[in-house]
Amino acid sequence: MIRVIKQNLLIKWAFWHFREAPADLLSIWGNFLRFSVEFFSIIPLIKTLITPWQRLAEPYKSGLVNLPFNFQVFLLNSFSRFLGFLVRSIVIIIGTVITIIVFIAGLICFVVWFVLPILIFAGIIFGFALLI
Amino acid sequence: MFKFSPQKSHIFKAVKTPLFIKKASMGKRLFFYLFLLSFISWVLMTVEPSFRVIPTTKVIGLGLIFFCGYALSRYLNLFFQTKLKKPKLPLTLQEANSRIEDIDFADFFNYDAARILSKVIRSKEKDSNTLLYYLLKETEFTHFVFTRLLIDKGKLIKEIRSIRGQTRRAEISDCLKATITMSLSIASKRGHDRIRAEDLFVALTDTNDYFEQVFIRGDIKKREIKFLTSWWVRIEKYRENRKKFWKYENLVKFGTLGRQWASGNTFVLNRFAIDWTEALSKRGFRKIIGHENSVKSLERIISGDEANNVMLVGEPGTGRRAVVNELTRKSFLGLSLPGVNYKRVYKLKLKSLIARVDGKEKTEMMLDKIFGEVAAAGNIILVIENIHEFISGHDRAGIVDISGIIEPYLEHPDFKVVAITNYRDYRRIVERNQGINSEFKKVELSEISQDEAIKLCEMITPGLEDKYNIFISYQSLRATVELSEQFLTSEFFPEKSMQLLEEAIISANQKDKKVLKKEDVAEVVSEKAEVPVGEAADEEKKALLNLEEEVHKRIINQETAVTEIAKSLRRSRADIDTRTGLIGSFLFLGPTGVGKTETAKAIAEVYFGSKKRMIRIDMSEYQNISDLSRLIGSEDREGILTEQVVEDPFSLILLDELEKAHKDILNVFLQILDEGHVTDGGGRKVDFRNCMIIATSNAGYKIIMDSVEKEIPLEKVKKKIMDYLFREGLFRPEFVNRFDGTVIFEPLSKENLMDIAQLQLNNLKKNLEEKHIDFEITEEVKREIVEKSYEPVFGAREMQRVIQNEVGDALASAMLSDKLEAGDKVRINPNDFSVEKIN
Repeated sequence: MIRVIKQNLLIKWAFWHFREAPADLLSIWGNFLRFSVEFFSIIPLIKTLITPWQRLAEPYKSGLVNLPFNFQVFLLNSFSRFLGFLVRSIVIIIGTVITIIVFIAGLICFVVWFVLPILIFAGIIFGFALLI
Repeated sequence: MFKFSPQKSHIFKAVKTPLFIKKASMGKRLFFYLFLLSFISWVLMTVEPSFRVIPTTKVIGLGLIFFCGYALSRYLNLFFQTKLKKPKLPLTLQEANSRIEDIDFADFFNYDAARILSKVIRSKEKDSNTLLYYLLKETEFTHFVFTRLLIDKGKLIKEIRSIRGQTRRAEISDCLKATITMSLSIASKRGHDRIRAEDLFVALTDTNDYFEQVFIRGDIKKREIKFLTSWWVRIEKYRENRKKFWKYENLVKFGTLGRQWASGNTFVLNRFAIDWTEALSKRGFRKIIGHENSVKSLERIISGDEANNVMLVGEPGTGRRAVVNELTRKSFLGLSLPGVNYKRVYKLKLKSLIARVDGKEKTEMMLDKIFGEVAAAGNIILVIENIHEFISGHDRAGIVDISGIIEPYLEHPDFKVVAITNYRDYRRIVERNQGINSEFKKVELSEISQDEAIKLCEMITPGLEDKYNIFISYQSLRATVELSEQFLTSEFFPEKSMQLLEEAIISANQKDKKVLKKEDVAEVVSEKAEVPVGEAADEEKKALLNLEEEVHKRIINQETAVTEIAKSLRRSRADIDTRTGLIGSFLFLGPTGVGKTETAKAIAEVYFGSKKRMIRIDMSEYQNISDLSRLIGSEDREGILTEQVVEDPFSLILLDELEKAHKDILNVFLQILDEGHVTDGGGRKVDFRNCMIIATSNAGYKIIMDSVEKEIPLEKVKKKIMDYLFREGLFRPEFVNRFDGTVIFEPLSKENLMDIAQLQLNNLKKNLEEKHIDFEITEEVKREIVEKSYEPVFGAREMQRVIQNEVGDALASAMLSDKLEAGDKVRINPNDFSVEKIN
């Protein structure tokens, strides 16, 4: 007969609190981190950091006669790249900061989880102490 | 051996978990409100010192206790929900199903099922009736199931309570054991991770006798319970999934910020296209049902590096747009392949562009700009609907050929197009445009199944109920799918069933009905398809029962033929045939003029409602195989037969002089007779299931004449004729066998001809009555007509000519020369066919 090993309620609780629930927490934490990175599109923005803003760039013309024109195009394209760099950098910085916040918040939740039962009971005792 | 020991099972122990853990969710609410109250009190006491009736520290202490109480309740509830209610299984359900000898069934139930079974075990009688009783009494899904089936659940509970046994038994009954065993197999087949209460309920449909009676009484099919419980489980899973906001697929619904800043902008495209990604994200994404493989192919091709353009080929209504929607959904949520994720889907409004831009040259310039933008942006998937209209090589009002403009872009790796067309135009236009076709990969879209169509209808039901303030019964939901499959044969799933459902709701709404029933759906189908659907009305029932009598009012003799056809029609209308083919098919053999065609006409009039419902095909016009395209169409022309059947699917098809048709053309009818459908020259499946085919032939008529002369019984004659037909190679045995019946028409005797003369003279009499002239038909005249026209080889055909020339002409001359006036009574002199007045 195939059966799952017998466990009493206390063992079940310990197994859940110290093994299964932390694993779930880690997975949820991972989801939020992944979402934060995806939401701010950090990776594609880094990859295209210095490409022209909205890919707006003029093509150059060949020949020395077109030197003044090409200089204008250079200035225009450089400005477009700079604008792209600026906007993307801002989003990357905001995204990175929020991702770090998510990371820290997750870490706090993860650590707090392990001592949560103690915190709850300590809170109740402290509450009663204040009442008396 | 069946093993079921709940006392050792974790899930049954969970049912006995102490109340303070089980009901922790209630404490959670209570403590939260108390904490809130303490907090408000603390704020008030801080702001206004006069409120300080007790020391602030005590309020803080109380608040802290309540907050911790709240946290503890949540914590315990979490422990109960995620651990105790979901203990680890020793095997997966699929593995358990293949090793039922080694398992204890009690380990594999979910919490709700275990809770119900615990009650059954504690009862006196541990049988399937008790299980059914508790399922009905204590579960929400049974309420859902019976409400949808328009059955009063309360009444069932009362009934089952009265029939439950009261004998105390220690052992569970064999019937309950069978139910439990079956529920494991059901749950495994449905892909559940544990046996649910719904699976036990479905198992009861096969094991419980009382349930069987409920089905019979309520005209319910067992599979309806299966479908309804599956529907419920889907709703439950959807609700549960939505609550888990922390899941990645729920988080990504917020979209992305700044993704488009990594790509180019599309100023001109935005003017002439719909941003489908934005439109759908605002409206809310709906998951597709069916077409999984087509969506996968679509994703695979689009994410490729080369030739990443898709030609989506499918008939309108098969869900072509739904496939694009699914691509958009997966791309938006980043759940597809890397080459597809986070792309923006745009639907090009080509017709609007052509209408808004003056001149072909400007239109082409604009299109060139748009395609350039798409290629440069690098994050666009462009959808072009009805591409065949724009690459046919012809310009006409509102249409410009774009082949030359789009072709160079199609090779570009960042230019991704999903073009949509149908099968007929794909073969007719797209395949012939090699330049364009070679840049696309074809993805075919077939019609979804009936079961998938039902799921889709289930999915849209809550929205429709909300919109039209009506309750949709499950019977009506199934009827929309089944009747649209049977009668709306020129349209496709899922659109035809969805449209029919909405039309039926609107029609019921107009009649102020609050519940949509299957009769309402049948009524709409009857109107749409001009076919009698649903329960036969009294008048129709009468017509069906008296079919022979009705037909005999129009034709004389031929009892066997008429009886056989009448039986077939009655079977078909009563829905007791499990037919896949036609309503009926008959081969009429006999000499000319014996009433073969007249019989067909009479059937068309009596059963199909009008002679106009008869599609008459003269098969002598199809003597060469090249004539086939005239019959069933080709890529460039419509078929005479197929087009008429598409337009009037409820028809009688008369194939005259069948033996004269080319043998290969007859092979087409082999399939029609066998399967009830044929694929026409344009690749369209034409349904013949609501048609009756009557084929006539006078092949072997001499055998009939000789046999009648020698008074040989008809049965023997039939065998002789068949031998003759097969020997001469006129028809193949497998072809003749496909007909529901081969009917021999006997030559008409003089007595028969007398009756036919009466019938035909009656028509004259009726015409004269309208002119207030009373025409007396005498036996002598009839006899004389028969004498003049009797020729066994030509049957009654000659008679019509004699009546017309002799009697008709005489009456016409008399009327024109004013010899006859209104109020006169006349008869015909049998000797010279002159008109005589009787006063």
